[in-house]
Amino acid sequence: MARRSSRACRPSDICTPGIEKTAEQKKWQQVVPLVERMDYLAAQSNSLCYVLSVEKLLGLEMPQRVKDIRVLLAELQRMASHLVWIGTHAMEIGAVSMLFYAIRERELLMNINELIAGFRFFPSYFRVGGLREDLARGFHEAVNAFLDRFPEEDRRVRRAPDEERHVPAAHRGRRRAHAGRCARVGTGRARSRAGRDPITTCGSSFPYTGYETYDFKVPTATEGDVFAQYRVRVEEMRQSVKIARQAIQRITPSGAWACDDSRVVPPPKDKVYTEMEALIQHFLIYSQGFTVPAGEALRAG
Amino acid sequence: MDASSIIDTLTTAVPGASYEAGKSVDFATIYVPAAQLVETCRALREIPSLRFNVLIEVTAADYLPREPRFEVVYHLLSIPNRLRLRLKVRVASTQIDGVVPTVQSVWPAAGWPEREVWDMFGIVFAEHGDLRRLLMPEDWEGHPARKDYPVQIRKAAQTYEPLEVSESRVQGEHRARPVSAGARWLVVGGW
Repeated sequence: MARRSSRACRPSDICTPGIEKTAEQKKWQQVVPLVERMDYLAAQSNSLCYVLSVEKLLGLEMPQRVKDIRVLLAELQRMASHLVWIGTHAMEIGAVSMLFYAIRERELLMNINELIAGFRFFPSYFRVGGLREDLARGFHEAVNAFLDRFPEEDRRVRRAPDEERHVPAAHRGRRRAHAGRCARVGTGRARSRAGRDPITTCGSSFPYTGYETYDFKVPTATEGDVFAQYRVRVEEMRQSVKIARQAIQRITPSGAWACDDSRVVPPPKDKVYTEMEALIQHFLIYSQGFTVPAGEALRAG
Repeated sequence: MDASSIIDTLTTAVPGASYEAGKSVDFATIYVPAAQLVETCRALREIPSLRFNVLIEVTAADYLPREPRFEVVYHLLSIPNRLRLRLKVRVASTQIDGVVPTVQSVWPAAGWPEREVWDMFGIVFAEHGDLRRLLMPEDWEGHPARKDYPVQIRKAAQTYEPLEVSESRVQGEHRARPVSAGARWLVVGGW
């Protein structure tokens, strides 16, 4: 394989969707579908960041069940994203069939999205103040069925290009990254976690939405080459399965799916039909939205 | 670590600078004067109790019609000390041309986000060295993230080559392209 290197990168004319500008004109809840379109592979991870930031400004605390569902869906999205990565990445080193296996597994995750929200790519299921609605019937069965088959399928996906030979041959010793340099130039994620003195940040150092209550380890490697990054990502998928298994056990099939703040969360339908105040609140939330105190909040994924 | 203790640490390291704590819901926010920005950033990176070694992002906010109109915002992360910090630099609308210095000498990661801030808000970073548009086309006029910029504008498509292709050109190119032996059965149409 020819050794290619890039010494300098001078980007220009990157396409921008102008989401910040569009979001200025929207109500808070309407921004959720917008931010989901920032990443077609893991849409809900983006909306999770957004709703957590807005909830920080509003000072909302979610019920435990909502936190667990968010963790579970975020991990499923991580797997969906990594599956596209591993499939297309294998194509680039000449193993075309890997993509077919990976996309087939991703299809099951898309089905779960469709189950909870009727939308496969951009479910907009996370809302400021909780979730859009309660979990659909059959959610647990679908998630458990996926988690039961995924570790085996994951092995099959990775065996497709003969992982012992092809992947190390293409990756060993390539583009060695050093964590100190990663910090200086600002690369994140798997690249910085695979270098010498690996960097681990968000989920473990700055816990959010209850990640600190889960048993998992942040995958790291020390070689710093592309193969190390590959192994870090594959290990991330295994850790995702581990977290998702813990989460699905904690989640009850039905229960609280939003916080009880009446500024943000519309009242239940039976109250809307029977109580005048609830009807007014329902109309206010759907026509005017709600007001968030001015300020800044950062939630890095 | 809250804003006031970071300010105390900074004031001893950077003499003559006046810092101000900002209001914040999540982590410390500090206003820094543009003149001492680079010194402050270097101190933030080097002082052992701070060690902000990662620049997460550089962005800006437009507070039209308030004056000073803009704020340039830096989000910092300290991996050794597990801290986050938000730095802000106030920029009046008369100061957008090269008053804020670039912080590339402290964090090389600043190069592209500073280009983006210039592209989107029109704030020029002094001594940047490569301050071209990052997101918008090179010949774009205006800075789209400003509050006085319209949400939707129509811009006539600019093309430098004719979009219509004449029939004779298609025919000519089709004839000129040699058909390889393997693809000949496709051209003659036999299955």
